[in-house]
Amino acid sequence: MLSPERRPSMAERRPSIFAHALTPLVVPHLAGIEDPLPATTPEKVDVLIAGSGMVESVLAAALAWQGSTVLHIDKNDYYGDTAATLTVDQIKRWVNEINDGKIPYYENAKLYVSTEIGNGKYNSRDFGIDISPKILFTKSDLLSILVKSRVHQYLEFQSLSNFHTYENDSFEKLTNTKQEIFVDQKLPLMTKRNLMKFIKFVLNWEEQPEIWKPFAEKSIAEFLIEKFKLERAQVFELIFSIGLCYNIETKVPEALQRIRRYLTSFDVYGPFPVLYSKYGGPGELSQGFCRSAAVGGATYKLNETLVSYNATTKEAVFADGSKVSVMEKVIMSPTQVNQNSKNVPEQPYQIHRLTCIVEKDCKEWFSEGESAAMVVFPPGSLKSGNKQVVQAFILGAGSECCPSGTSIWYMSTTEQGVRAEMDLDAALEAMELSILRESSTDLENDNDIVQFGMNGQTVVNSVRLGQSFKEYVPREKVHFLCKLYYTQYTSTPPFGVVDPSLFEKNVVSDKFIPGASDNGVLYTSMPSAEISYDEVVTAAKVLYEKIVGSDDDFFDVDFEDDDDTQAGPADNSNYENAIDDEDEDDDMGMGKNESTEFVGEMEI
Amino acid sequence: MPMEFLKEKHIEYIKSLDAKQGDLEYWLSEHLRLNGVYWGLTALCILDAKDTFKKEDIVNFVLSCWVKSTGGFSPFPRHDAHLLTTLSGIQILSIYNSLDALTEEQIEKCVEFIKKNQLEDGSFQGDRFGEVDTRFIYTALSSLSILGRLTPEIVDPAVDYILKCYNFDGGFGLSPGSESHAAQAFTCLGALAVVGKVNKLSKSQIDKIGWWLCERQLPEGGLNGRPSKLPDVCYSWWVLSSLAIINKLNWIDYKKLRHFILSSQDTKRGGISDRPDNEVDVFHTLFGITGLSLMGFENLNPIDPVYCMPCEVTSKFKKYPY
Amino acid sequence: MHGVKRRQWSRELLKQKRIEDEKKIKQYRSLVDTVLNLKETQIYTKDSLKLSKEVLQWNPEFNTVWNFRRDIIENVKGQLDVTFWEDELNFTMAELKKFPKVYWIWNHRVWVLKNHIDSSLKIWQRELIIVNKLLDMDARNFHGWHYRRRIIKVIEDRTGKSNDHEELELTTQKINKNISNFSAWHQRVQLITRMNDTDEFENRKEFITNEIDYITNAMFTDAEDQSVWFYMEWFLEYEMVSKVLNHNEYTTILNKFQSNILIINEDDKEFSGKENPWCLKMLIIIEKLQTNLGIEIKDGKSKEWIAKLIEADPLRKNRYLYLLHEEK
Repeated sequence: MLSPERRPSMAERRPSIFAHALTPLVVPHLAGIEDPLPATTPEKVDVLIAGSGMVESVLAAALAWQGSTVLHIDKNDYYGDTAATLTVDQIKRWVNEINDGKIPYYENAKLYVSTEIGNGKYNSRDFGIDISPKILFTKSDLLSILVKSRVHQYLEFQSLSNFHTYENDSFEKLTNTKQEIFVDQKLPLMTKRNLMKFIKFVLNWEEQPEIWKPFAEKSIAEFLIEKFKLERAQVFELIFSIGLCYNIETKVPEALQRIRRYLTSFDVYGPFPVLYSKYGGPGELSQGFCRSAAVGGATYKLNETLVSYNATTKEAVFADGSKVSVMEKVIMSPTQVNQNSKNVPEQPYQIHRLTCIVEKDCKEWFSEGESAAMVVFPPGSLKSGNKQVVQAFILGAGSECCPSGTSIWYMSTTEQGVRAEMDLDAALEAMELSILRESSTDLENDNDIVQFGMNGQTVVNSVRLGQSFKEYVPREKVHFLCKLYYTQYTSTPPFGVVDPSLFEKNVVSDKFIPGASDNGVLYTSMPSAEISYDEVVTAAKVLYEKIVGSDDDFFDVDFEDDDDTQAGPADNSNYENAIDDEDEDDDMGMGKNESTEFVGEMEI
Repeated sequence: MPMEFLKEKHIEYIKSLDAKQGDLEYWLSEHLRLNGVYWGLTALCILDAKDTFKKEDIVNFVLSCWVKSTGGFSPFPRHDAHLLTTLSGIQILSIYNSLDALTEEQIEKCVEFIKKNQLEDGSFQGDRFGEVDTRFIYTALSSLSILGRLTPEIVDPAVDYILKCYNFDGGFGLSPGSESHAAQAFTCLGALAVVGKVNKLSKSQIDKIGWWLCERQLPEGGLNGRPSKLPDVCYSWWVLSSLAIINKLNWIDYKKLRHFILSSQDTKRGGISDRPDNEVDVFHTLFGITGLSLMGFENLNPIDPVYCMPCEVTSKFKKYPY
Repeated sequence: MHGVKRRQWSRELLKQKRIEDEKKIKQYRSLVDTVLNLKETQIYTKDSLKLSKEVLQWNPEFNTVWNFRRDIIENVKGQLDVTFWEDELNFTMAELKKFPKVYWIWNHRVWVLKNHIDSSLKIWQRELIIVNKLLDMDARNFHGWHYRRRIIKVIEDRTGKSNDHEELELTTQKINKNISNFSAWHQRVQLITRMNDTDEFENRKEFITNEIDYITNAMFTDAEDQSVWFYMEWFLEYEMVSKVLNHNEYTTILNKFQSNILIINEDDKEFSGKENPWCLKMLIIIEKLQTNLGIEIKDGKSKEWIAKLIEADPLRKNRYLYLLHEEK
């Protein structure tokens, strides 16, 4: 049974449209995912997957469509595992379980919940909190797979165009498109030129080794300053907000790849680089892939723990005593282990997260019509003297993850050890002050921020409009409804560019450890610190190849019902229909449909 | 990339076009049939394979497109006549030296049809519904020239109108005030050339036209039709013929353009597409081939840049003023 | 075909397509036959209207059927209410969204507007908003721009008021969105010329000063873009500029452009080791303008720049050789 304490699942919210379609059912209505039927557990499967996080779910769907029989289980009573989207009550339970040692690879969980949730004006279920929040670049492997697999039809995406860099105690919005650079009144002419030069370069940087090779071993900051003569402000924006790099030492090729990721994603579906899914991030996406896997024939079971697997007899035994023969492989998430699991790869890297629900809509940070923003705190920008970046992903009520008048702030850092919490606290404080300052409306009654000129005229204080608010002590306080702090461990280091080798090493266990319940089991990776979904497809493919032998037919699905719905003009409110199977090359600023000019009309 | 000109394949491709009646696209393109025949036939002439088409069948088809009620040619029997297709009909008959297949009366009516569509300002509408475009000036003047029926009453106002379509950048638009477009450079310069009035343009205008045209070549070798657009094989014709008319053909790089055209060939079935790896059609096949011919590649028969017909045919035309 | 990827049909697929096509061909040909019969027998009824629309939905390039449709409308006009005309506009719009480059549809739409039962201005003003949206979808569609000029012309004729200021603002917006939108730069030239001719500028000098900033800004933002350079050339040569500014001012402006272009070219050389061909081309033009002004140029560099262009822009080598020859 699914937990009664949960948000409406995707399938409940979006019942399969195919059930009512006139066309023959190619993708039948999903049965089983809402209330999986343990009675139907097969006796024999090709692959058993334990854990329903992102990588496991993508893998399950890929295998199901490839033709393998898949049994996909999760020991929790909800979907998502490391990618789950949880209610406040579920979070309470989750935190307790972490602190009881029941959920491995998470620790040091601290939770504050205001009495207003549950007993006040909010319900626990009004909130959907991601335990590893993610954003989706519009030009990325996962997005292609979402389209190809048609999982995108289960989901609803919203755009995120505001990326802020925290500099000199204020949030600077990025100037990163040709248009913004062109119309920006403040940028000096030469800076415009240098920025544009860099943006053009980075779009096909690999083909211009003569420009970057001399700097290959240097940091991206040196490259940008020396080769492109960019100023600190632009350098920081490019590295940390656009590139979403973690520290100043990032090497040139990695950083260029990451910067390009943002720029090529811009304008694919509209004037923004990333999307996020409504109602919850990876929680929704992983559920979508599970739903697809179920349609492809996979069997689902929640509340099911794998107790042991015998690689010789190929028998897997579950906590409820049931058994299954696994012909090919057992795949397991490190969170799904039991006390006799002895082959779990080492998880040496920490990710520290601080997630807050605040009673502020934070619309000041969002672009018009949007409900999300990214804020990046570059190294050295915080009171704590942070060495690593702190990234903050803000979601407003439009995301349907929190009720109106509130927002969720997801902060994370790759800093290790005790420093991390200090950095996160400093970032929180900076955000708190910033939102108070920006949302303050009663200027004239506020002596703190309004000064009177010599002749009695009011002069709006530079604190409100200018760069610094160090002196400004807010009267108001941000009201926190919830604060959640925790540390997650992973085997994947903070990476510059995704690479299969990041996952290869922790997958295979050839060792045979006597008494271990998991000999021969392949392990998936815990989510890394990466804020984008970039690792998911690569990690899933590494496993897929281990099982199938090659990744050539990974999601090589040919749905017969040709989707005739053409992408209409971009509609800001709802991008789910804007995702079209076509993969158009899009030159910067060149607009689409360059090609069809004279469709034979110049008939002379 | 095939760097060889696939002459035989292109002939095969053009030949195969009429055998595509099992495809829906064949029927959906009836409105371009007469133009299509002209494109195919001209390409075959340049490929020195004129006999691939059966003359008698083609001439009969053209005659079946003549519209008695208006006097012009339609793209397909039962369709309406239009200036665009009227030129195609005349061109095909002229290539087959079969203008005499039309009766005196038919020719008279045809000339009437063309003249009737000239408007007061010298421009032409395509048919009675009033669309105005320099394309129609070209088709009208070229048709009348082939028929030997140009007069100053028609020519002079038309020339005045064309000059108004010249733009500040050295290009021409479809009407005064419209953005420059390479295909319009051809229709305007071609129309002026047909009536022997290229000299109405000043030297500095000609130099500027040449500049704008040669800036159409992109680093990959292909030509585009307007700034910041992708290259397309058909501009090999529109741009090159225009350059030829103003005697500046060599202002672009031949080798690179040849490379671009050849890499747009379909190596399996013949034919040329707008750019590499796209679907081929007879329109781009013709303009790829004529482009190569203008540059003197592949031992092709010479094409006349003014009429877009084999020089062998156009050399016999009476030149205006008569 | 324009912009259609080449596909290799397997025998199997081709067979399948043929089978599917066979049914469609029958359907289509019989429909076309019916409609052409109606046309030939001049049956102008609402039924004919319906059938002609069906053909056009199959094939929006079938101009004969568009013609027939207009003939039918002319003949049954009395029976058509405002709903019909609005539906007709919606129909053409639906087709334009799918086929934004088919001349026949654009023409039919103009015809519909001109014959619309509601002959008030608001139909045309609404059209302006619609064409804005179309240009948002493809800011370089020359059909769209041409169509816009036609709409504006009607509105101006009927109100007796010029829309030039608003239209100029529109070109600014379009250029801000994409500096490489030459369609907008082109339109800007048309508007400025007209506004100068009809004395619409409140203050020509102020306009010129702002425009110079605008161009300078654009060339620093993207020095590879031909649009900006073509526009700059026009602007510097435009008689209004040389007339409104006095000799000194004009000379200073030319010098300023010259030095900025040199800065950009030097920067490019430092960055990539290569000359920027557009900078060189503009430098030649500016020097020519200076000479024409009677400014004495001690050591003219044009020949040197042309020689550099032969290296820097080999595609157009023969043009530069021609220019070099002209210099002598």
